[in-house]
Amino acid sequence: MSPLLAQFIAESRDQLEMTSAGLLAIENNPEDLDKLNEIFRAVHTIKGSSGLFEIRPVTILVHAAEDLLDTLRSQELRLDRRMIDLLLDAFDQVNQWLDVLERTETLPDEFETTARTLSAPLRAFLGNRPSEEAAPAIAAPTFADLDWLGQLLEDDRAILYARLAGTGARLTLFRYTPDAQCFFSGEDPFHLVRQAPGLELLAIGPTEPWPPLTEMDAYQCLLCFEGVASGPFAELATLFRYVPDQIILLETPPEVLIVPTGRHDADADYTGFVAEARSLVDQEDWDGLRGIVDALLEHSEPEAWIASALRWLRRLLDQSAADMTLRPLLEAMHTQQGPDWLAILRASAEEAGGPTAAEFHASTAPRALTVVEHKAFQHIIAEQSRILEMPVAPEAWTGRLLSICAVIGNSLRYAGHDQLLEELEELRETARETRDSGLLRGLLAQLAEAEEDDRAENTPAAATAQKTKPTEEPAGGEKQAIKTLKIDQHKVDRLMDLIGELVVAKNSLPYLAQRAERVYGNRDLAREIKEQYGVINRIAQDLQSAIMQVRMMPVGHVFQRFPRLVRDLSKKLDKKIQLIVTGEETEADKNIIEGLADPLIHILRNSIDHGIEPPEERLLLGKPEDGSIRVKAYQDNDSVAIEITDDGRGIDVAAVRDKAARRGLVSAEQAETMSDHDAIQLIFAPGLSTTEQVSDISGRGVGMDVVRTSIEKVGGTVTLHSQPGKGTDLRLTLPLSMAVTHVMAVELDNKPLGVPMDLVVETVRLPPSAIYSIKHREAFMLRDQLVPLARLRRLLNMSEPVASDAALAILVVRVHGENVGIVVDDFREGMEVILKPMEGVLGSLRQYAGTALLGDGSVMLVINLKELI
Amino acid sequence: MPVEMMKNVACFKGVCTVEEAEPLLQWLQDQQRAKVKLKECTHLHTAILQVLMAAKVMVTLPPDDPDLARWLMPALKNRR
Amino acid sequence: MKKILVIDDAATVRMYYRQVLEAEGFAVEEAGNGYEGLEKALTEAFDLYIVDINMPKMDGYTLLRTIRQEPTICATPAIMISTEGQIQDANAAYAAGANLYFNKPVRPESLITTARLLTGEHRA
Repeated sequence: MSPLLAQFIAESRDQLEMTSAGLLAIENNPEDLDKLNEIFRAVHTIKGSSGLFEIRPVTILVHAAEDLLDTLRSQELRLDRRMIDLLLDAFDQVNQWLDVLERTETLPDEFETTARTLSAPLRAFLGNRPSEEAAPAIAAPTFADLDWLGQLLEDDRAILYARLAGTGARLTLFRYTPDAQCFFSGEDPFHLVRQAPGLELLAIGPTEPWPPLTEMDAYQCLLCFEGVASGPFAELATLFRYVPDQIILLETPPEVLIVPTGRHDADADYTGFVAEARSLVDQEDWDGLRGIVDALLEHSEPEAWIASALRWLRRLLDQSAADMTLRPLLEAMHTQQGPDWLAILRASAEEAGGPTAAEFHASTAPRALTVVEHKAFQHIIAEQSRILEMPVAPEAWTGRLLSICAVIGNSLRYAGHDQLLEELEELRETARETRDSGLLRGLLAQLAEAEEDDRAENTPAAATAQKTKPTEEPAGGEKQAIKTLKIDQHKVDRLMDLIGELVVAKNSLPYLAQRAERVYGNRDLAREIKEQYGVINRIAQDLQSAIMQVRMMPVGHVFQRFPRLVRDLSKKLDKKIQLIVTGEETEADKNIIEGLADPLIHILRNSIDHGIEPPEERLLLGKPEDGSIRVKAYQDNDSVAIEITDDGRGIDVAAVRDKAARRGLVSAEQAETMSDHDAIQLIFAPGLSTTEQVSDISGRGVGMDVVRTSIEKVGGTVTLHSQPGKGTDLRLTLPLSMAVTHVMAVELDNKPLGVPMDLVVETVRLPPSAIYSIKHREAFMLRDQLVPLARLRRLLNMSEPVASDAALAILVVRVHGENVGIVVDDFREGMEVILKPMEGVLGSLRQYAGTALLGDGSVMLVINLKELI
Repeated sequence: MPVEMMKNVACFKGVCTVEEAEPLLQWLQDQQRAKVKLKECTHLHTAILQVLMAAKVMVTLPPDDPDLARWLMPALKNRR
Repeated sequence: MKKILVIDDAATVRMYYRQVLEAEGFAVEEAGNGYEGLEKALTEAFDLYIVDINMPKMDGYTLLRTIRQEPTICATPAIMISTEGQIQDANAAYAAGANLYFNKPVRPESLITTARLLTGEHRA
């Protein structure tokens, strides 16, 4: 026997002995209130302790005695002999039960009847006083029955059952009755339910009949969600972890879905059918059973309950279900009720010695402790606030304050909020000195709110719900507002500039280290400076990427204009066009996004104007009447890609060849021989417009060359594919950010000059003799390939140095898809710079991409090789 | 505005939040034959859902979002 | 190790708390009535008091009121637990000096969680 039970039996016997002696004593001296109190307390103790065990008969009987004794000691009733007789009988009975308990460690349920019989006359003295029945030890919410599953459509249930039957899969049933006030804490129960993993069936209904619309309060939640999910039970329990008091979860086999529904026919008697069916099950004559089921089904009204039951029988037979499922259904047909799956489940669980459904619920809830702890923490904080609001005797003021602070401090420590302990201590001391706990109450309110916020973050509508909270304090709204900050763009730009300066300033440190070593001969100092440089460099990089994050915005910002554009233009041109936009949430630097707007609109206009054919033409071509334009954005490694695809007529290659030749962009011979793909690229050449007639839609003189230029300006590239009759596919690739540029510095006339690093292929030094002259052009051999050569001095109209035998420094770059060697005076190092575009009059100098500030304070020009070559 | 209320038709778009519930309720209180279009709606807050259910409105265009339509439409058709 | 003083006149109930709490690594002392409880509290330091209401010699309310006015022990957290079936007003417990109030039956897991939070005892 467990020591606890042994203790209970021994203690209760002592108490009962004292009680009996006491009752005999007051029989002679009814005024002895002390004695009466003593008796009451003894009985009270037995009752209190009995609640720790499953001994309901004892609890019920002792409870009745206690209630009677309570009214006696408060002198609401006068003691009489009959009461004493009855009490003594009751306690004799309890003594006997203690003997049984000692022998068997349990009390049979039948004793409960005896307990009630003996309690009745005791309670009779109490008149109408309500009897408080002892609550069951575990009050986990459970389903009273599973009949509610019947409200889900039979066909839906049948499909789900057919899918799961025999697979061993289990279902989780749930009933979620949200708190009426839940909207005020930012909850959206429907949203929560939609997240349920493997949600299969759902019934949404009001908890009570709908009020008239004029009396309805939209912000009182009146709904109840009942449903069935096939996802793992643990995941469902996790999903609903913040509403444990509003949710009932039960894991069951799929058989619970078998609930016949429909109109009951009181006169019908199916005893004969059930008996016959049962014997067919016994004989395992499934065809025979199927036969009588079908026969009866044919004669039943489809809406009748019995028809529904028969349909289920039929389904079970088709799925060759086990007797275990068939029999309960047959039993149910006797009464036209049930089957009571909950009772069946419980019985089979007990048979197997497994946990009952209710226990199962309690033991498998994951992180149950965490949920309990969370709830307990909230409760403790709330109660401390409540206590602080209550009046208190002056001499107990400090004690109360200190105990409350100890409780909060310990709870915070347990919850891992150690960072708040110092603040708590300060508030405690302040409160102690001023004898005012206002500030402390403030902290508690904050804690309660922080908890709320944590919960609110789980629902998308949380922020908006906070806003409309009509009665709650406004503090919650303020807190929400701080989470997103609207910043003036100029301030961000200013921050960007400052970071640029920091990057530049940091670049002066290597120079300083060099000077320390070379000029002052101090190696150690040089090393230390380099170390510091490493640290500052890292911080600067982090800072830079942080601020770049701030500047990121979704490309959808630009895409917003498209639907309107497409609608208006297609209407104007009598075309039918479907625009499909995806990936709006892809992010890139603000400047890049903004630089994208015009080129994208131009591309779209081209597609609408030239690409998509008129509907009648499309129908003749066997294409769908509606043309489609897809705009798709996505992140591709370090860049953002945007694809614009249409299913129009594609680019007329012949027309492009013809026009390019006529405009002298290429020779007639070149136009003939170049591949289709290359020819199509010619539309990017300046001044080429493929349609004869200039429409007012794609504009005048502004062609694809402008698109390419603007994309390249922000460091992007454009590729184009087109198939005649099938459509055109444009792909823009853009850097995520344009803040930092890697450049390779080269020397020209003793000055540094920057070349964008992404163009540089390699650096080589060759003797002048390795340079071939072919007509007027120079070239050299690099790994068996002839590479054209250009001289940077010539490109920039600078004087040539005197020819010498010294090796030439050649920078091999890739421009327009071709390798080109560029002769420079000398190479310098690669570096990161903040590139500033040329401004003012210099802005028109297209051969320069911009300027960059160097570590030593000088300014370096960065050349635009694509323009120069 | 994710919920656009016109003469006797309300048009729902995207995610319709809790603050739309009260204006919607007021609008419905004045409407004898209210209709709603949910075609472009991707989610509606519980508060809106219960207002629609209580008002027994007619849905002329169910949501395109198959998931939303699956859970929502039976509740809006089920006139208890 | 955190120390808890259980003050209840029912030996079975004290034993129950002891079993539950000791299993979770708390040290438990017992007192059978308020008076005995006060004596123990004044001679030994505890991290938490668990107090019954109805007890002989000194009831739980009186005990808590006295504790809150006693400078050496007034800061110790206290839970008050009513006897089963007697649903009393938590305010009476709070006015006397309790920090938390439970109606019986207290489930073992809530008792443990609460004890951990109120004593700041970290889980192993």
